[in-house]
Amino acid sequence: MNEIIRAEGITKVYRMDEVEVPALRGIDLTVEHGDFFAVVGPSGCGKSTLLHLLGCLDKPSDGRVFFNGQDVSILGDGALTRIRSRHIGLIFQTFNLMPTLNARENVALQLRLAGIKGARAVRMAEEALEKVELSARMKHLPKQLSGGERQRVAIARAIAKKPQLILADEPTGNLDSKQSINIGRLLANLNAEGQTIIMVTHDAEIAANAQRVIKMRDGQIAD
Amino acid sequence: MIDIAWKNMWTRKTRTILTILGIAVALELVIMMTTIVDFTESGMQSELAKYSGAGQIYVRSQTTAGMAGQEFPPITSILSEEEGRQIIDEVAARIDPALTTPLLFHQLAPPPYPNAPPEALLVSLEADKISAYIGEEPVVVDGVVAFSSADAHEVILGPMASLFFGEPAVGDEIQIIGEPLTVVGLVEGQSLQDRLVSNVVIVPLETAQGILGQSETISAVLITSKRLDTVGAMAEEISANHPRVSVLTQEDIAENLDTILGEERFFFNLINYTVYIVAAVVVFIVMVMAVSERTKEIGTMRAIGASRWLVLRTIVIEAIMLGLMGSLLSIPIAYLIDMGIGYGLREIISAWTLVQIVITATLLSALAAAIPALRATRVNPIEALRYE
Repeated sequence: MNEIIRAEGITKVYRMDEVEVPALRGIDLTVEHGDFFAVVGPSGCGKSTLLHLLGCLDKPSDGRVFFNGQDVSILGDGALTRIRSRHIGLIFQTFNLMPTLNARENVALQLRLAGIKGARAVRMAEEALEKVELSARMKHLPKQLSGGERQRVAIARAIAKKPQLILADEPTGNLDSKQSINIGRLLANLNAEGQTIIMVTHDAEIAANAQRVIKMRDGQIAD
Repeated sequence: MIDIAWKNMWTRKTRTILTILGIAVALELVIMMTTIVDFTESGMQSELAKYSGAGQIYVRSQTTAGMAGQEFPPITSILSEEEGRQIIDEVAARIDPALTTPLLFHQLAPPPYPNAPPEALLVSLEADKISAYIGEEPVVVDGVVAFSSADAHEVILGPMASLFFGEPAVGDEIQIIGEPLTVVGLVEGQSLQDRLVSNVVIVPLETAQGILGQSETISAVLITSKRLDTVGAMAEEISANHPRVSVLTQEDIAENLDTILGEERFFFNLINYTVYIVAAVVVFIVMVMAVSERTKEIGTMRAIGASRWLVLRTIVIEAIMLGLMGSLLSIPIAYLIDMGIGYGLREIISAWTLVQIVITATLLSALAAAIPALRATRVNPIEALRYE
């Protein structure tokens, strides 16, 4: 079996006061090792919600999510946290770096959370930063880096522990077009090396780097 | 996670420094209060030791039932001098006459804090029996411990009383209730904290009775028995023959001092607990603010794999570091303030007191951070993914 993650009929309903708002309406999806999926669609169509469920950040209202064959929809917070820390790399639109830590420390923090400590964590953090071409900026704080550089630190953080799956939520949403193209290429290169990636994006040009584009509308896969 | 906590504090320098200073200033007060209690306690212990084996009894007027002996020295007691001298005559064969004298007390300045002795206490006794009250070996700072006559307008001052009167020198004149008296001696107790000698303004009995307009009244009679084993029987005999008086033996005095000490300890501990609570509230507020400001960071940490326990630990470690640094800083601040006001507490402060204060403050800081830390563990990691 080559699949990493499988969603079976997942739905997600948010309750806002007394009103139930359906965000996902029965999604079936299988992601295999080496896949690079781009999830596109208008705002509010449920793509970020889908990413949260696939990334073990939230649980479906109905249906099941399997990670490496294990039903994660029934796991508790501790088990989901362990899966996220060891097997999933997250990239956010707003980078979400720790402002008090420099680039290397930000990457090393993710490694520490994955159970890799000391000199090994530092070495692996430096390797990840080299991979995103930020060797010269390792000791800079996030505020001393450009938007593109911050996102590359975030990518280094996501890839440093060599996760089975990278989830990127609008990774170029806060970048200009030139930096967006660079980040898109970087993700494509990582995928070429075998990294599995699921990316939510509005940007058709960035989505074009993916092997498969999933279009969503009204909480369902439209295409 | 200590490094992350440290960097969080370092990045928000102003808030960190102000918090540490707030804790330090509050705890400095605890150091001062605790030292004053220790200081008083050790003074009282030395007093108790002095009474132990001294064979002394104080005869004073009866107070409200059940309250007899609650006050020492018996400042509010009033006896007729005639009755006092009659009591002395009745037990004359069993007492040391050189250390037996009628006493007249009068408070010249109120206590500096509740349950403390008055800042200046007029103690008048027979002119040649000064040592009956202040002990046979007082430290004479200057002058003499003697009066030239039974009605001499002379005064001997203890260290606190001397401060109250503006530190006069021997030979200077001071005014007591409008009457000029010449300072003939300055004395100290055998130890710095000697409570009995510290505040005394010793004046011959006749002189004091004249100044106070109480020619035939005294406060108490101080009787020193020749033999320790007859003190109890003598006290019972006086009580039986004079139902309107109350007899304080050395055990009663010890009990009184212990009661006073207990009240004093309660008062200062009340201040200390309040100060500890203030310090804990400071830490609590700062940590609540820190958690609210860092919701996104905490959410990110949770999203990338930090457990709830790790988030809690990071917040609590930060609070512990604030408490530890604040309590350590309080020590030099207490020393500096003490140098400024000249209490000399730094010479008697105990290392164990400081250790206790640092440990208590650090543990309280951890406790104060518990609620904000628990709040932090409930931050939803999805919050970190929301667009700003």
